[in-house]
Amino acid sequence: MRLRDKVILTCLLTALLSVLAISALSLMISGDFVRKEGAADLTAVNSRRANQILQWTSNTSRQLEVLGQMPIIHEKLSFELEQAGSENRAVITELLETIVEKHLRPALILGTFSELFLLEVPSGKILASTDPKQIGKMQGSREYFIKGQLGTHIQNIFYSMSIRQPTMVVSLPIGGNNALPNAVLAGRLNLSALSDILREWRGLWQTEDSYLVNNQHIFITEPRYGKNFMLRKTVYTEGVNRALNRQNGISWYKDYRGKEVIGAYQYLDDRELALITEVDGDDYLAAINKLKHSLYLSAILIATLSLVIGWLVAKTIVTPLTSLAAAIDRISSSNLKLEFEPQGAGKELITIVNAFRKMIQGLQTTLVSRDQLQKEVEQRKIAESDLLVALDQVKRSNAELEQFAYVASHDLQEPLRMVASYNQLLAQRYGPQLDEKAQKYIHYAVDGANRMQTLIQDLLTFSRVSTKGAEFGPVDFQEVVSTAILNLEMLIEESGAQITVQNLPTVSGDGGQLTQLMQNLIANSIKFRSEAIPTVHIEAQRQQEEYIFSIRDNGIGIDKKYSDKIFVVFQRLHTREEYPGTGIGLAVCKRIVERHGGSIWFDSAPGQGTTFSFTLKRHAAA
Amino acid sequence: MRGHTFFFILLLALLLTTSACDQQELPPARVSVKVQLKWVHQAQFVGFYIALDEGYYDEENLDVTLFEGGPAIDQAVALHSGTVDFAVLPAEALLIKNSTLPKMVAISALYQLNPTVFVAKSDSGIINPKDLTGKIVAVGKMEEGGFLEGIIQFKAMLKNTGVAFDSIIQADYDPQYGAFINGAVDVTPAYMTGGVIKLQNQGLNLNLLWPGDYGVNAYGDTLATTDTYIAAHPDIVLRFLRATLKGWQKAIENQTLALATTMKYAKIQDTKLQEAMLDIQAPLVSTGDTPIGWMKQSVWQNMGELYKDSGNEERSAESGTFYTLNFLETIYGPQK
Repeated sequence: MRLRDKVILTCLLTALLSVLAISALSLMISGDFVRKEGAADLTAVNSRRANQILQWTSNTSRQLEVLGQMPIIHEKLSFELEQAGSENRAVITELLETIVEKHLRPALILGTFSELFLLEVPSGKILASTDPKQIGKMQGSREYFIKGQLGTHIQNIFYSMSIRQPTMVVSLPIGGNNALPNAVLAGRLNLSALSDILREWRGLWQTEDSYLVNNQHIFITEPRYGKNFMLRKTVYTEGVNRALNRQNGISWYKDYRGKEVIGAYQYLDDRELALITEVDGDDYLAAINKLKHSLYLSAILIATLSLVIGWLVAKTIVTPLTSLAAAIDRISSSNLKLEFEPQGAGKELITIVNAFRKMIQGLQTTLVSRDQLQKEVEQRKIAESDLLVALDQVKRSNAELEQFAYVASHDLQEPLRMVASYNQLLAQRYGPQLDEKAQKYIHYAVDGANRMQTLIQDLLTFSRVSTKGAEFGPVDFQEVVSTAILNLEMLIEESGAQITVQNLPTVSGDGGQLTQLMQNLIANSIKFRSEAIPTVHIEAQRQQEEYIFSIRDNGIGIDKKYSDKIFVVFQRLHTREEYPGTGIGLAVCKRIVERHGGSIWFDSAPGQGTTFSFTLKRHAAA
Repeated sequence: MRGHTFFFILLLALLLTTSACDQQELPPARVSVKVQLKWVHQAQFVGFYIALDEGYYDEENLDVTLFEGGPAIDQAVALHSGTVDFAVLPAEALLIKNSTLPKMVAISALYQLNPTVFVAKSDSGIINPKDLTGKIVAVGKMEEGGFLEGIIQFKAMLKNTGVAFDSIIQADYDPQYGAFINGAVDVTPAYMTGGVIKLQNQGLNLNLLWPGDYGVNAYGDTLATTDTYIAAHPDIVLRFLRATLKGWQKAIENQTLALATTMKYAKIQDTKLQEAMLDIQAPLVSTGDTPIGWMKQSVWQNMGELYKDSGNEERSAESGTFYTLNFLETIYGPQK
């Protein structure tokens, strides 16, 4: 899930959960309250109607009783009827007319009764009535007549064929004794009053519906949502059933329409009727439903609002992050720039951006260093390869040169020997015939040739150091020195030189060349001797992986300024006359030492003797 | 093996028990029931039609056949002869046509109030039986089964009001009321559920004398069977009555259905007439006093005395033997 969706969803869920929790709580509390209050109210409405009905019936009874107590009825009529015979028939007729015209008809104005009439006992014949059509009718079998003889009686609503409509009759006895009155006074009730009581709308519920049901489960008043139900339709709803079972209460059930209602039911013992007051379930719960609707509405509003807020918040957070991500995506090694302006971003984001910037700067530096190093490495690689090429060329030219020197010196020897030989032959055979000058010239030529031969041989020797060197192996330097001394035996004897040797080790090297090295150095020490008897001391000192050999003499010494010149081939510090030689000895020494991977140098001062030193690698086993 | 046998026996026993129980639960066997109606098919018998059409008879496993009545059909004869099992007939028939065996027994009073009235034109000045003296009244020739209630009730009414039967001039009853309309007859009996509607539809203003207002308390249409049938099939009587009363209750409660169902059967396909009949009939069937179809001993007694006193010597049945409340009480429970 994307961050934006998460933020929006979180906002939405938080809002909805709170709204739902509050809604549920308020619905629970208020719903309970409304239900209880409503139930109490509905019961109260029903009870009040019951009281009104009872009050109405007792009022009607009282009104009829008042009429019945009138002296003209209670005494006069009663008396005349008791005396009834052919002689007082006219009196009775007149009396009845007076009663109807003066008392009963005016009583109708009150509206309680639609008809008032007097019935003869025991026949039940109507003696007088406010409705002339009814006079003479015989109602002896009617309940109101039979029971009206015993006391005030109210007959519940029934269908009267006499007037062909539903009616309710109050009746009471007139005169006589308890068992047999002289007449019955009856009044048909104006049922609109009953309707008014049942229809009186209290305004609490729109669908309030009150009606009466008799013991036969028959509607005896028109319910609000019924037409022609009165005395026609039976009703067996839970409310009616309970009321007819003499229960009072309130309950939820389906009414005569099959609609869910809450109904208060009550049985009117005096009237033997069930009184029901019902309210449609949805109307009854209208307050709760209203609350529910407003809660739903607010939930929707809050949800919408939280969606918007969530979207805005998500936008504030996500948009800079997205652009930051895009900006970071654009960063590459070639483009180390964070092109991002944290507009409208929070402090935290700015901190992140700054951190990124720092990181990128660090990266930039690192990358620059890396680039330089790479460049250097590349340059060095090129240089190295150039160097290798050059080295190779140098090696090749060096070898060629050495080869050339060797070949040249070797091949030059033969014609030179011929020049010297033939010049000597010329001097021997024709010497006496030649003048002194010619002989002198020949001597120069021979001398030159001999010197050249020496030079060439020295050159050959020098070149042979590199070209004809033997394999390295363990060399006992004591032996080397001994061989050198043996080779120089004549010179040493001749000069009376004293040679001392100390601690000479075994080294790795070319034994022949090392012998020549020592031979040259010892010879030089003796050759450039001072007036004193020459002494030569040879020793070696170990220093890490190599030995430093030193050959110290007490000769004429060498000026330090010739330290560069002295190891160069054919360089001489003295004339040939002072010290004979070609000047190749030390050059050969240097070459031998260098071939063995060492170095050579000297310490000296004129007249102080000279110490030549060189280094050689120690033999691995030593 | 032993275990298997035991299990098998147990299973068998269980099956037998279950089927035995099932048999007890089974509805009663379907039986045919024949009913003779009092008159031609019309709204008067709507309760039977609805019980048929709404399946109330089916629920009781009854195959009910309704036979139309007519001028030539005597319901009492049909019942006595065993041609039918039940009949709708005037309550009076139980009293005066019940001398042969098997005896007819009323099981329900469909019309709680008798719809017979004596009709006079409103300008005739006749508003009371006493005004009938010297008037021409169409109560003659009733022995052909035309208007049984008419003459009996008329006589009873006159007696109750002290008017001598001889003081009126009898004329033949005409079901078409031609003589009454043209003024040759002053008063004619008519059913409020039939003749009165016809006459009012002709634009006549009428004064109605209802015998009930003059001490003649009589049931109208009555449902009856015979004592032998009751003895042989009490359960069928109960089932048939239960379904029939259910049909009547429905007819009273649902006038739309009542009219629609009536029109499926009615011989006279006049919707207005049938509707008016239903309308007038409803309070006669459901008075609010008692459950539909209920019967009161006091009314039967009253009827018996009236007809005896009114000189209807044909009365032969002893009080209490020509009606039974057993089935009504089974259906509704005892009433006050």
